[in-house]
Amino acid sequence: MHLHKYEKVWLTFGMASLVIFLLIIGFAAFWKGTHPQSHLETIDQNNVEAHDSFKPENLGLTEVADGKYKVNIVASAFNYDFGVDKDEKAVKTIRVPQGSTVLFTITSKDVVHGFQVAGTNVNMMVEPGHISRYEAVMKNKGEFTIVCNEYCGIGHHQMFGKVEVY
Amino acid sequence: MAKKQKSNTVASPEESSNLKGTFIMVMILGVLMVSAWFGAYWLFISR
Amino acid sequence: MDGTENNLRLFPKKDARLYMSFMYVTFVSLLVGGLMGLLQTFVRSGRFTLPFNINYYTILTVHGVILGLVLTTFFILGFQFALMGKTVGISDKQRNAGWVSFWMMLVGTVMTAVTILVGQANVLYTFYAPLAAHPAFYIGLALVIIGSWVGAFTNFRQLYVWKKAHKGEKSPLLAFMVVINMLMWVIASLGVAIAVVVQFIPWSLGYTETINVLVSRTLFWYFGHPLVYFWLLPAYMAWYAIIPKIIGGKLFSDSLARLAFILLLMFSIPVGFHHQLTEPGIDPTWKFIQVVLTMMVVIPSLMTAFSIFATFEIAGRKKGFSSLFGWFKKLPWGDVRFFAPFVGMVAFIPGGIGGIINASHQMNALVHNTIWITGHFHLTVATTVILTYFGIAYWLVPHLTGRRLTKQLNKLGIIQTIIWTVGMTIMSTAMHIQGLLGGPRRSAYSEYAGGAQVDTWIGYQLAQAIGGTILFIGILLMTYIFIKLTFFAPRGVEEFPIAAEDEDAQVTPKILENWYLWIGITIALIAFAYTIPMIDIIKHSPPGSIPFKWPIGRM
Ligand code: HEM
Ligand SMILES: [Cu+2]
Ligand SMILES: [Cu+2]
Repeated sequence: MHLHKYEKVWLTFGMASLVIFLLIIGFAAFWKGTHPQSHLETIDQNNVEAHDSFKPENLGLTEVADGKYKVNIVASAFNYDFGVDKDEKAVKTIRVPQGSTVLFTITSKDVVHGFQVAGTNVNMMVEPGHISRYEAVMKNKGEFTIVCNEYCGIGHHQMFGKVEVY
Repeated sequence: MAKKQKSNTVASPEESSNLKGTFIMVMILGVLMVSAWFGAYWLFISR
Repeated sequence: MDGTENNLRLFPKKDARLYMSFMYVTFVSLLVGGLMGLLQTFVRSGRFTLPFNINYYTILTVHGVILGLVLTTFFILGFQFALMGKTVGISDKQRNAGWVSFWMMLVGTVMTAVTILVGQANVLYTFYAPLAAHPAFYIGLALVIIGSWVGAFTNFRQLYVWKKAHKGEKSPLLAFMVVINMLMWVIASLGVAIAVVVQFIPWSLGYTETINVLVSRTLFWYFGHPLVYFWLLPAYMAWYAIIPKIIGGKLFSDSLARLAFILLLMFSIPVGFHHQLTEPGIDPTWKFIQVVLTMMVVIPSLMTAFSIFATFEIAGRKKGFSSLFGWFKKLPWGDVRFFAPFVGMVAFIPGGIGGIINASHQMNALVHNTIWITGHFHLTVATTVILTYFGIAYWLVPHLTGRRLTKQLNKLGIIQTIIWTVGMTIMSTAMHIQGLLGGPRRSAYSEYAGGAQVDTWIGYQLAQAIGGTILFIGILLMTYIFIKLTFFAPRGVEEFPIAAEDEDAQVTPKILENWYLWIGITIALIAFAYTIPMIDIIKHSPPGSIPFKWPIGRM
């Protein structure tokens, strides 16, 4: 089979670019640990409260160390449960200072959901029986909408929350 | 792999086909690909 | 062999009727699906509510199923049957099998469509468990798939019979390509068929209590990526083997075309994890391995880009243009059979680049399930693929009906293409930007928690409604052209343009037709990419999920 010399140059360039892309994301993933969300822990979706992270009193925002937070959430159609505040009212907004490190841990009680803090790299699938986890540094100030970005039923677009980075 | 040419050909494809324009076009495409990818990567890093 | 004579010989009536049947379903689907698309953009603009209490997700399911699964599959089978008929012929028995395939798919489609329309299957075209549609939805889908297999095996048989009668000859390029595409389709759709038949149907009927969600998703995406290549390869067939004829040139390289198709067969299946990159429950190392394989499938597309430009340049230079880009001006811009696919090729530049970004492992979090993805595949499938299909239909439909693409219809086709280009540029660009800003896909209008971020999304959704309106005008025009070409255009003979090889072309290596070798490698790659992670997924399964009907509005 014959390849024109320009085609050889072109294919070499193209393949080299692909290799560079792979090296960059491979290095970031395996050496810096920035894999996409791939948490491997399972859970009984019919009894999520049995898991420490999803006990009603552990839902929502907790400061674990200086500048380090965790947020535990239980998703169900069509709501994110971030726990309740002092007045027993459902929490809808998570407020953290700029630069803090936040570990989001979430699972589903029923169908498949999504969890994206729009405008950040927090973007995960949430599936019944699995726990999803992603740690992110909140680099930028602002209000970020939390959206369910996987279709979960006819109320899908009414499933949301908010993260405020101040 | 087998490389056979009929004897009645005047020139090898290399000489008979001037593909300069093609080469420039694909390289433009390549540059677009690389810059778009790095643009997205930059966005990813900055978030 | 110069096939010009064959290109001008019309099919026998009974053959043409089979191929045309697929075209009818294609264009009815286009109109119905397009209308749904228009309504979606209207709803999402926030200034319109659907009448009669129709649910947004009902029309979105119709749109995805009818355009993504039905239109594409019917067009592809019809087009490929015509290609096989032209290049290797069809026997009475094979034609009958073709009809079996058509009717199975049609019955399946109607079953699925009715189930969706009565509101019993608001599950979108990906039907992710544990959302549970009515069993008729899954049974209809199974019929469509199995019907398409009947078509596939008929195509295999057609080439086999031809080969036996033409010992030692290489198979016609287009027949070879059809067989590659159908091989890929059968191997890939086995995954979704297993999910539907073994998991979904018994579960929705209540014979099994629970379903393994992650297994069903993994089987779906094992099929889902090759699905998009199944749409794309017929477009590549036209680019490699038909467009050269239309622009007055020859094949660029028979062997390179075959090699590209073989690479597409091998690498388009073991890559489904790139749709599951942000899922829990899958080892990130295996995700990355499939990301690497995904980058491999870019290579045949790089080859295709070169071949296409080279075809243009060589054809132009043969006509005597020696300046660097003079050949470009001389392309037949006024011929819609060229112009529509050409715009499709251009759309594949941002489309393909977007795809590389989507597949880049952790970077997927930037775009996953945002409306960027919808923007991406409206470039790839709804522009590149669809405009190439339109470009094919402009000559295929009249060739089948014994009519002619008149000057006037050709002009309307050009206008159609321009309308599509404008509409899609607006809609798709708005989707890409909104997606990068975090706007989600598959969502009816919502103001969420309010605020500045959501306000910017809504602006882009308005733009999508404008683009969508323009696109829908394009669909109306295309429907008109189709009706004209089918029933009213003047009688005559429209060419079936198949490009010939150059007389002094190089001999195609025999190894390219070693089916055992290529199928063997394909299966080995699939086994490599999927065996270990699949065992992992099954071994570490959580409890299964019961069917959920109420979230999709079923009682
Ligand atoms: C009038 C032309 C069209 C318009 C206005 C349109 C509009 C849309 C919109 C707004 C969505 C996203 C809705 C959402 O995520 O909530 C969508 C999804 C989709 N479109 Fe189109 N579209 C058009 C043509 C096409 C064509 C020709 C195809 C394929 C051949 C197609 C295939 C799809 C698919 C597969 C989806 C995904 C459905 C899903 O996410 O479940 N569209 N379309
Ligand atoms: Cu949702
Ligand atoms: Cu894919």
